[in-house]
Amino acid sequence: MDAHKLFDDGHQWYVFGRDPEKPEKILDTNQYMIVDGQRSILLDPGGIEVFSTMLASVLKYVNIEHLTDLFASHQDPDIISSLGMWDQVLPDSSLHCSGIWEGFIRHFGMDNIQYKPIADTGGHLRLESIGLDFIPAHYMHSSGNFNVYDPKAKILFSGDVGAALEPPGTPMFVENFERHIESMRFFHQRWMPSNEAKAHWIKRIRKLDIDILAPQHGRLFKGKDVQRFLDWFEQLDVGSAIK
Amino acid sequence: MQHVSSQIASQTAASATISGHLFRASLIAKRMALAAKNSRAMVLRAGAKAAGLKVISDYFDELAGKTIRLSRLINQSAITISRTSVRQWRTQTFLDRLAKSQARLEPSQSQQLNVAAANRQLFLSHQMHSLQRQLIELKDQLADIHQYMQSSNVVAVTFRLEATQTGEFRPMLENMAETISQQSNDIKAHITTSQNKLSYFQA
Ligand SMILES: [Fe+2]
Ligand SMILES: [Fe+2]
Repeated sequence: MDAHKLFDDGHQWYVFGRDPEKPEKILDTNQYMIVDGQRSILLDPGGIEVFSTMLASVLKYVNIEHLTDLFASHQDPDIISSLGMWDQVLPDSSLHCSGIWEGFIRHFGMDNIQYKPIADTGGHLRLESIGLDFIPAHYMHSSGNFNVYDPKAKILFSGDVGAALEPPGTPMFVENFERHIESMRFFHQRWMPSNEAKAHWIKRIRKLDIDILAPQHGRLFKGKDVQRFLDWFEQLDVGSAIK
Repeated sequence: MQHVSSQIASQTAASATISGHLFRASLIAKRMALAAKNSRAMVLRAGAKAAGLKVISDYFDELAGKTIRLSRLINQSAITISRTSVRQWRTQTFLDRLAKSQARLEPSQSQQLNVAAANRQLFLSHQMHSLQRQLIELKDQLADIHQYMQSSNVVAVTFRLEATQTGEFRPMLENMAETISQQSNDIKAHITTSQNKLSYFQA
């Protein structure tokens, strides 16, 4: 599994993905880790099939006792079906996720980890030297859905928003936005259910100062491509299955 | 490693199958109890001519009751085993995946996972001990119910012989003996299949 350092100034952001060992029919995912001294958080730690690789990858950068928190943007299997495994290696950690999903997510197996429900209005998590904002992104695509914003690194982890379906081994960052559109269109039209929720999300996100927009699938957006993405998404009609 | 997981998967499937067979056996036992009650009523109506049959039909009634209780108990035991087996399966899956991670890491990094591995390994061996205990209990219960059905067959034969003395009640009582004997055989078939499934547990 590839690992890229996205940010390194007092605290660090890593992205893990493009796993060449993952079974072929499994959708490729990006997993993120924020390391802040002796506290670290995994954002969307991934499905059970990538657990072994993910565990080995993160331990290259962090000691296991410093992995204190997990975040799940929503309840999907590609996000958090590895929970039953993390539960055994990180018994003292906490999982931050929408309160509405607790009874559902526990089906993945959770005997030790503490569930910290995030209210619909959002939340905040203090690590060692930095704070992270859990930004509401409901119905984007899941009904209880959050993004993570790091104001110091100016990185927004956007979950499934900004995702692209591309062949394995594609680069980590968008290089040509116009060409990237075709890999995103179907995903957003089909998985995002509501134009109203989309408009709400865009309005909220436009207020943030973002250098990198980091989705859970496909390439990351950097610099001007962040605005390009928001502009493109704003005019896209979503909820295509009932049209 | 893969082998261990698939062995546990077959165990889980086997115990769930046993539970299903015992559920069906308990339904037959219920019908058997009904047949036993009918035969008692019939024997009472036949009066003196069927005096010898009274003891036998009482025995049937009692046997049917015991069979129902035991098959419910076995059904429960099989579910417990299935649950233990799933727990074992998940733990083994975890250990397999942990080993894969450890293989990729430098010894100093990989060491950090030793505690989790040791804990789970201990848990797994506890689970294996419970499973062994539960299996012995299940084996005994299956043997008991098998024994009941054997006696029930023998008694059905005696019942049929005695029925020849009962004049106009004979065809009905013979018929009843036949039903009980058939039901015992049906239950026995479920038990035998279940006993064969136990071979999946021999590691
Ligand atoms: Fe999703
Ligand atoms: Fe996803």
